[in-house]
Amino acid sequence: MVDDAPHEARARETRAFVVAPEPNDWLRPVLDALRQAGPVEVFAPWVLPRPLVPLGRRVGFVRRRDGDRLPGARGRGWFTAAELLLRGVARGKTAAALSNRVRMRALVDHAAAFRIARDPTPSLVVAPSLAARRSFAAGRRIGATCLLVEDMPDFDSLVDGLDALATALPQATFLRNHRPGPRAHARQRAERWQADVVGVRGRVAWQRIGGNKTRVQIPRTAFTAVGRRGRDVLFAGPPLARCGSAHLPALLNALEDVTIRVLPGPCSEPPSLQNHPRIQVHRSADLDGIGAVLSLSALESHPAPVARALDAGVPIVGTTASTGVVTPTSILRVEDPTPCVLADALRQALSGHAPRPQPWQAPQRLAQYVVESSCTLETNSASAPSVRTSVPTT
Amino acid sequence: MRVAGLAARRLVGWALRPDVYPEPSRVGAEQTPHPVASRTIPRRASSFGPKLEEGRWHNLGLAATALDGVGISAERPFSFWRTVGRLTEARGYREGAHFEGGCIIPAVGGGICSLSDALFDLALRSNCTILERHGHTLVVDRGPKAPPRRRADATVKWPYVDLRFAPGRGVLRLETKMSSEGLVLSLKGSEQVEEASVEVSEPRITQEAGQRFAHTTITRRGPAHAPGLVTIGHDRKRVIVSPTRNCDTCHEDSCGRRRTP
Repeated sequence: MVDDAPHEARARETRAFVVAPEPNDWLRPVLDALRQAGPVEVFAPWVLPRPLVPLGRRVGFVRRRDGDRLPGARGRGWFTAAELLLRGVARGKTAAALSNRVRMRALVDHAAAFRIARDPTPSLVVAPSLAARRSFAAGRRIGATCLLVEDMPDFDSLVDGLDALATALPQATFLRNHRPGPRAHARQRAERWQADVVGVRGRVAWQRIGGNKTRVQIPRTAFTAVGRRGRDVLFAGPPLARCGSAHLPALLNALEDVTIRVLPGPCSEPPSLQNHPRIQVHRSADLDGIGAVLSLSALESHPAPVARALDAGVPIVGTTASTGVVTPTSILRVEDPTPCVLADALRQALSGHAPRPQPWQAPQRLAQYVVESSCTLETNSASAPSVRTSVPTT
Repeated sequence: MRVAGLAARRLVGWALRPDVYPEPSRVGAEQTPHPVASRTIPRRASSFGPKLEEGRWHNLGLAATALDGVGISAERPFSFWRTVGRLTEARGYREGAHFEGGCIIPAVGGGICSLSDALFDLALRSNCTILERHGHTLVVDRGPKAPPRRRADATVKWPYVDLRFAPGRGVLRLETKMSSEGLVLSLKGSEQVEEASVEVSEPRITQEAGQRFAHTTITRRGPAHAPGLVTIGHDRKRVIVSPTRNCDTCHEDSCGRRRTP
């Protein structure tokens, strides 16, 4: 006699297992898409217990406040302790914060793989970049389909772009310091090799990543707040050289009646921007008083103001790489941002003659893929080898 | 016990001697514009069986992701294991074909020797100094009809049987690309490097204790400005008959190695 019935029941029950190493904007819409096909379980060790949510808001864990509503998610004390320790070590430095982010994702990956191996029921494992390698290996062992969510920039393109920018702007020291390690590059490429399906955010990533894999577009949360239109220009991203802020002084000279708002950050490049009378810090999440959004990064960045402008219909002036979630014909493109070209594009945007930005639509979206492939996933789940050992009854 | 000691010694060396065993570094493509040498590991039908062959190609592709963009210089020599890491199932490697004691058995990370062979060949042809290399211990006798393969080979076993090499000057960048024909490995340099020619001598067969051994010598002829013949190494390999069965088709259990892939 064997007792496999509970295991089989659970196999039918749990379908998708989502690894969420940190609160992220893709999490909610991805869960909505996955729920169309079946039950979902989220592995999110950063979740705060419900009684602690108000306290968490006070001590700075603002992004964690919705975590207790994720299906199956349970906070882990060891994770919070490790995160606090690494935060203390980083002391607010950007390069150290990036390293910590990579480390925490790897830690979550280890824990999620252990969890999958202990309870091998999912037929679909969804994991984001740098938190997928071991989860996918564990998922593969039980015959699950592996879906990679590319929620971080492509490191190879990022570092190549930063190198090129550092050569062009030798005074911008940040460009030489901000680098992921070689092992993070390798890890990102390995995860793409292991994945069955690659989910990307926008058009630029679609062109660069996973050409020989099944690819889907990851949905994003729509921005609903609507503010009054104004004549200020919002610079997307922090005022740093990698985001194209080196062009701002010349642009301010060319446009004498325009105020540029920048997002708050630890510093500004060039430093003279901080004292310029027509530079303001934009601390609000909405686009109140904004007439155009300027996104000049030469790197794939998808800054949040671009996504908000897309939903609010605010004109966008920018490079192809940074505005990669938008249809290129619906923005005012400036690939080589000289002051004259930038000023002309911004005048056109502020005068109301710019095209309305349109979101880019991938050939296949995540929800569509999940619904269409649900039969395949069922088959995979049924053929997955039973990992639990049968125990003979006496 | 001896193997564990060697492995521990190497791991300690990694930790305590970063000058000898440095962490891999990444180099941008614009720093190495000159093509130096290229080699393709072709996809072809094998006698390993489809499962093991599929696993082998998965392992090759996964290991190649760690090699792409790696920079190699005299200060930062290439080390196979420092770059690729341990081949474990938890890191995504699968069972591929692995030779052991004259049998083809399934082993996690099996088939990775194709990669070390190709890397050794690239290093020789790009005039790199070979810091560490180990030859295979077995060679397959393919019979009178099949021509003997005379090629430079290198085997690896984590972590103490490694392949390490470094260029004499300049920086090399290793690039990998998986295509329908196979896995393409190429080295590009910060300066022009003349490709060297590599020769493997005709095997000399000897009989020792009832077994046949093939003795070969790997030599490299230098570039035009230094045309000397340099001996890279001597190999002594036990000759085995070509295995026609693997654990898929062999029903022998007494070997102790049998595993169902």
